[in-house]
Amino acid sequence: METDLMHLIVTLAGKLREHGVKCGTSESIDAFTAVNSIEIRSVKHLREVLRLTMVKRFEDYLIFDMVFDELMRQKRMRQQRETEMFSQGGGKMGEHEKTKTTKQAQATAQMAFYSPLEVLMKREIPTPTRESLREIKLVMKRMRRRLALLPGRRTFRSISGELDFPQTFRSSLATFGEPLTLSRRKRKVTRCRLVALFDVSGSMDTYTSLLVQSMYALARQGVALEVFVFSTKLVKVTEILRLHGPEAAAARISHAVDIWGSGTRIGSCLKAFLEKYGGLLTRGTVVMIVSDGWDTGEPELLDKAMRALKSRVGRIVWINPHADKPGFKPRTIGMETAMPYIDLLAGISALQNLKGYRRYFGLALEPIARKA
Amino acid sequence: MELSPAAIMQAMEKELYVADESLATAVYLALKLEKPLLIEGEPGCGKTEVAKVLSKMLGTELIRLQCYEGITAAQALYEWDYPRQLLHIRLMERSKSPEEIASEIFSEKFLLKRPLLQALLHDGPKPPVLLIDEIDRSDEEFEGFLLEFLAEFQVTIPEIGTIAAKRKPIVIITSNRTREVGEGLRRRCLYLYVTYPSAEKEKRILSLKVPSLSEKLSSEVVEFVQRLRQVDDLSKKPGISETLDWANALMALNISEITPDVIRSTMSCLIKSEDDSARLRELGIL
Repeated sequence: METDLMHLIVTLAGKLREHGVKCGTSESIDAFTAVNSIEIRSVKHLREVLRLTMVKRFEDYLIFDMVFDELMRQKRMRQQRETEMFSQGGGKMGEHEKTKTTKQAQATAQMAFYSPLEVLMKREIPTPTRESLREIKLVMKRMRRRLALLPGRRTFRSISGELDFPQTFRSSLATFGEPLTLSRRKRKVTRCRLVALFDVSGSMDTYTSLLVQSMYALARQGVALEVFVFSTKLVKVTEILRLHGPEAAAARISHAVDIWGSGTRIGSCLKAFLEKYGGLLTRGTVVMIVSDGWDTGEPELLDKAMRALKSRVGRIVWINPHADKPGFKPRTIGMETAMPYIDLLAGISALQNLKGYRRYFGLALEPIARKA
Repeated sequence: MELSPAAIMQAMEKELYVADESLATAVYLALKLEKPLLIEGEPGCGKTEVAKVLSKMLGTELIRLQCYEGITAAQALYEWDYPRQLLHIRLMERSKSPEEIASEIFSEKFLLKRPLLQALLHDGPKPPVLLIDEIDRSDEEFEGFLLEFLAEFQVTIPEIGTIAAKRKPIVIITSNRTREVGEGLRRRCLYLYVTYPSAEKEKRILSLKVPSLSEKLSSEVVEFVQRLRQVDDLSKKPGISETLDWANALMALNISEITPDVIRSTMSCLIKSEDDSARLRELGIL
């Protein structure tokens, strides 16, 4: 029983790793200790105990369950075959032959192993893979830091600013409790309230998968963050992205947002955004618009909306897929209209990987200073 | 008390908490393997409650650290009580030598013990339950600091020395997933995801927590809340705490039957945003 369990745990851990679940030796050891310190009553119970110790995020529950079920099925089949063989051959079959068949059976079982990730890939919207998501998450993290406009809770010592009582007292201990120098501190600019608007109209179709990944990564960067998608109308998707795993979120968004691939009316969408979600906008907010600027609406409306937006937020960042191309000039009407209000224009490679990000946002980690 | 998942389930029920098997197993393993338990899940599903009930069940103290944006080691671990130190110097400077004063003001008397240090120094008969609530609200620097603390269960205070825990506290960490908790912390913990309860479980919870609620009303309440949770893209689905609020509100209003009017007038217990109620009106549920 012991070796059997150990074998199961080791195989399980291997399979989990194959599917991109981070499950190391320490997890396997935990799983083994756990299984040994508890009375296992059923397969279901065993699954729960193993899941508790081996899987560390909700998104991986599904993969774990599939892998576990498959392993259990294989085990059952093997047992069945063995009992059949014994009853048929009556033990006449040679030891050599027997090992050969089980080896073959194992090989086929491994080949037929069902991959949950592959099946999930066949959805309407390509689902994010873990590797690309990892990179995009890094980019988003950095971008958030770089675009920060608001003072956070951390402070630094400075000549002006509020009095730092703990520091003053601490240094006064050196002068026997006489506060000779007053220490002061200021709050570091570290926080960013970000509102991202993603264009999902027909002209952006080629970038759908990247957009979904960026949305997903972005929505999970903290509290003060909202994600919208727009084309002919505006839909808030923050909650969908936050509450589900990458695969489920992609599927749900494609279901909930019936506007993929339609035309674009940036102006009216921005207007709707200002009216309905105006409360999100302060001087400390950064608005990020991801769009190619192909606009089927009136340019006057867009101009008005952009001006209103500019006056209410701290910074507007526009990500345009075409800005990556050499010699890019904002020629579409939408882009030309919006240009004067944009603080930072970047190509879509800025979302894709760190290299692209650095091209537009630079190497520094400190927040970009606010323009005077 | 002889520990086993079944016994834990029973004991928790005695403290008015309905635990399912996976939760009881998780708690049992956390106690047995002496590992922190990281609980993630929807808001209002009883994550924090686990720690509270656990401390009551084990008859030990609950030490709570509420995380928030910008929380630092000084607020979580310890800080010197500077104003008191200063006063002490002023009072003693005539009568004592500087050395004496120095050794006095850097003694435990002037140490402000924050939750993590309290958990280390806890001196009761049983190890305390340390609840680190809403870890996702704190920033990564703090998470890194916590990682170190959870690995060693000891702190070094330069003026005093190293303080190590006599017994490892029982650690429960909760997260609402507004930010992803780092890989390192996950690896050190057992992980459990809690979600909304099934209808039967929710009925059991109601009968435990609001015993005066009639059988019929309780099933109506549960049925409606379960239906609400089916609605897609609500920004905040009602959790168990909302169900309990609603049931209590119905009791307070002496309502014996749920009608559309009743739902409309008491909806504030369940739905917490204008967007959501608009969406429900659109679907004809409100």
